Amino acid sequence: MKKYHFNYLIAFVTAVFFTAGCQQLLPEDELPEFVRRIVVNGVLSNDSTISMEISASGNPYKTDIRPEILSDAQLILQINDVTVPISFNATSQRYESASSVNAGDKVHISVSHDNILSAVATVYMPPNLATYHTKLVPNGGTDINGLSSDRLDVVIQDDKAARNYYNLRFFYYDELATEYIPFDFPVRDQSMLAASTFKLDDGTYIIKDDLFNGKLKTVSVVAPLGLVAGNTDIKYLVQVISLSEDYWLYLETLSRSGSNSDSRLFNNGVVVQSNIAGGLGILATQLVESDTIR
Amino acid sequence: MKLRPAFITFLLLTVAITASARDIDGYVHDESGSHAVRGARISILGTDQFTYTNKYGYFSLSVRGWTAKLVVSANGYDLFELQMDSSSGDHLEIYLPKSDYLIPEEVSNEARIPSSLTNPVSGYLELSMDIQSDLPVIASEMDPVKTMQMLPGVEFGREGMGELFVRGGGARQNLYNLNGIPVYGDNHAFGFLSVFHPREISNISLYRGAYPARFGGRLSSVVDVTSFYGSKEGANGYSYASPLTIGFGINGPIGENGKTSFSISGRRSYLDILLLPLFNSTGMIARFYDVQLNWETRLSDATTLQFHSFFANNKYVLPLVLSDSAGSENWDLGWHYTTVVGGMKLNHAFTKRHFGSFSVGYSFYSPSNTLDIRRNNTSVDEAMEYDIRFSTGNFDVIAGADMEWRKSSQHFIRYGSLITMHGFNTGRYNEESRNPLGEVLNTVELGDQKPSIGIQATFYAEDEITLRHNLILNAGARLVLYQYKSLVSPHFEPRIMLAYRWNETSTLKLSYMRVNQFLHSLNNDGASISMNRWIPSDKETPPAMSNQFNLAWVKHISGSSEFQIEGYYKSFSNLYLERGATSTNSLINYSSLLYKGTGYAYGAEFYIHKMMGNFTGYASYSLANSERVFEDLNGKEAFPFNFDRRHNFKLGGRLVIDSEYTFTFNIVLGSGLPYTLPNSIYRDINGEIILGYEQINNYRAEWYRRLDLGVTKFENGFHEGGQKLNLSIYNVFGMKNTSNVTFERDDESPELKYNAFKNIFFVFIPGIRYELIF
Repeated sequence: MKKYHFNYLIAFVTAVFFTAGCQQLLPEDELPEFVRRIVVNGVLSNDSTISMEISASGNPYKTDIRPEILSDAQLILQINDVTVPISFNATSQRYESASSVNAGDKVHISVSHDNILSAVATVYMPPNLATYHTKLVPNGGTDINGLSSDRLDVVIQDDKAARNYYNLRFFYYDELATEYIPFDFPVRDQSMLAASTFKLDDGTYIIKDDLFNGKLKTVSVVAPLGLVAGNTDIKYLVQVISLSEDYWLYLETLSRSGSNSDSRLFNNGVVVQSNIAGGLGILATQLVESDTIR
Repeated sequence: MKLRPAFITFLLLTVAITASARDIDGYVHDESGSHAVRGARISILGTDQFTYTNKYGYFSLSVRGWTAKLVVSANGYDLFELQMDSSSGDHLEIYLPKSDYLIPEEVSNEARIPSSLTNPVSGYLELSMDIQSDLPVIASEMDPVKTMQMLPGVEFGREGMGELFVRGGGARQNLYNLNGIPVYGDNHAFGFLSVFHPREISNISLYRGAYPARFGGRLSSVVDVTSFYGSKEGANGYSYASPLTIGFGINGPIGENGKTSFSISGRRSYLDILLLPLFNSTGMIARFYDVQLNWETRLSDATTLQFHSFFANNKYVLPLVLSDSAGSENWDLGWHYTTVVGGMKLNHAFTKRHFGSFSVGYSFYSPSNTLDIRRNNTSVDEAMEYDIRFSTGNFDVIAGADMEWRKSSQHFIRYGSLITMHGFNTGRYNEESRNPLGEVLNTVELGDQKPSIGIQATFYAEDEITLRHNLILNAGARLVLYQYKSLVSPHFEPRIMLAYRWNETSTLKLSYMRVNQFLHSLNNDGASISMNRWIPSDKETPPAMSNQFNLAWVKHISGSSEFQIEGYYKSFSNLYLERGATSTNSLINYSSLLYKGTGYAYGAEFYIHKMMGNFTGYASYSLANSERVFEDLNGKEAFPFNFDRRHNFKLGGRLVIDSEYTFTFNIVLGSGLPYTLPNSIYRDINGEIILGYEQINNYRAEWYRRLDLGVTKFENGFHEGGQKLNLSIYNVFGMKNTSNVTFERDDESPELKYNAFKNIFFVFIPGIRYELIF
């Protein structure tokens, strides 16, 4: 029988296999066509007047067309089909209106600018919560340090017909600084522990109704002992904010888009949610229910 | 004239005997008794009586009179003739010798008619062992799935990967059906190799068009694989080494009665063994292996019992050291996945006309990602070690019965049922941290820690009938009852296939199929690395569905070649895509992070196949279009499917020079694949600059071109076997085909700017494989 000396060949083949690849720069004229678009960024909320940023997108492969704020866009704002005034504020670099929105309102915007495709969006404010109340139970739970402290109960009735998203915000009132400050609390509620929940940079949580769809939901948190011991009046502020699904998807996809900074061989880019037809960005809506606990 | 009573009695008896039909049945094997020959044609010379063997090599036929001459023909085998008379038994065991490539010309055309002319199923292709083992593939690693990539209508996806994209469908829309059990983890090395090894396969075939009612559960195709159960004639074996794997297999009879056989085999990657010092010193792990054990016994002429088991495992660990001013951390990133498939099958001929196959089986797939972190220089109060594991997986427990009833030689009825219990781990996250003393400081458990269960009950019936001598109908339907959590739904899937024999050598075929897919795969299509993840259909992710229409014309040319033209249109609904890069959130809470959409694909395929002779080969051209429409992507407009290749020309051949040398080649020429590149940058709600993907698959790579060559030398003389050396070169001319497209931030630019690149992985890849066959 003939002997085949294949060890060397295997080593050679392996070496070739791992060195054969290379990378080539794609010429600019082969890259996808760039179309400049209007970008809308705004959150419509019942507890503030309307404000939004209008900008234009830039070309990722060239430095001549950059993303920039548009101060001279033609913006038409309609609330429940009634046009309301809105104008650019050079200080805030945003388009602002003296009007505000309420639960269930329909908001339509139309934005145009020379040489850029027009963009439109129609959004709806979330409805009021069917049931919402808060309760303070003094020494009702164990705080983050294992001490008995104030417990805040938030009760909401979830709407079974829709997929709902809530931003839960708990603050204590600092009488010296006269401001509301978020506090840390032990997270024990299953909805807040759920994988779909994510914590924002301001320390608040956004939860989905996966675990309590259509049910009466009570979320309890325990404030650290002694935070409001010296307060003479206001102790806590609790906010439950209903988010539109678009807004939740925007926040979720935006939180994962950090990996967009470079593409990887084994990763797709994240398409950040947008509800702007013909443009980019988000016109988010949220309904804020606040309760001050004294 | 008066007839004598004795003569009249004789005449009546003769008429009665010749008019009466007796049923015969049997099995057709190859000459070694190792492989059942599927699709062999058994005909009675001088009559229009014929039948074909089923996937187990079984046939039954009605013979009129006491004498008859049976002719058995099958591609790759010599013609076999058998004179039957009154002394012949009703049960036949036929062993077909390997062919000298051509069925003799003197045999009537009718005997050489391949089943493709009479089978109303279109788009059906079978791979021979020779083609699987000799056609050049990357690094000479035998892989039947990679060989199938060379078939018309089959797209190979990302270069180098062992995956199939059939007629615009996804890789996980193909049913890999191993002895009737679905295989969920179908690959090794993140998709580089399929788990199927040609030497452990008795038969592998592809239904790429509409398939009969006995198959279902995947939208695009069925890859029907029958295991190799060993030779009943004598012990055989093989061992081989190729650049990535080494393997072995032994098979043979158990006992001396020739009724029982076994086959055991295994293969393993060995890069980690070759580079053992490197792997040991760094803690790196990169290996895969699979083993299988199959066993078959003939309990009687009518009954066969089969047992099959398959186990495959992949494990990769990449160690990293991260350090900063605060100290250093050792990270071990791990990828693991295991596939287990096993089952038992009892095949029994109840009568000469009624054949049944009863099976129980199990299929398991469990991919996981791990991250072990060890922080150095930590105090007792701090966590020193973190073990993080994200796992998914699924399993099936299956019991089924498939029946075949030959009502007459022109009328077959097939029916059966399948009960499947699906188990799912849709996403589980576990984290444990320990201090330097090994004490557990914290544990985190997210996602369902116990599997969720779904039930699927399937009933099907097929009626295959020759309506006229030139019109064959296969009409069937499949009823599936599916339950998972609160979703309970019935699904009806009609299947209609019609073949019209235009003349002796050509057939026109028309077919329609509806099929549902109840398990969705969420692997990252852009990556095409196949640690795919299967999730169940539920109320938020209802079953995917496809409707497919096919029109085909098959022309048989000069007994050894075949020409096919086939057009198709298919639509998809309830398709799901993950919203880009993964996070713990999206892994566990996937349902709200999926894009839901539809799709459609249409095309035409031209295929000529020379099946016999010293030169065998094929040429094909596909003109195809496959698009997707998703509400939240691409401005709601249709965009090309990730593996949409408009034009695809393939040419492949195998030339047998003599008993020693065989030359093979592949030529592939096709449109480039589409890729998604960002086409804008813009301000987000926080004023940060992010990338915009306004169009999906907005960049199409240049044309793909490749020539592969291979040569195989076979030498007789090793323990009555031989040795085989296969040399191959993949992409001989070193064409710089795009394997992937990526982009990076241009660090040299003072302003934010990106550059896009094409990555080229496979340029002139030589391969070598050495086999000992004994």
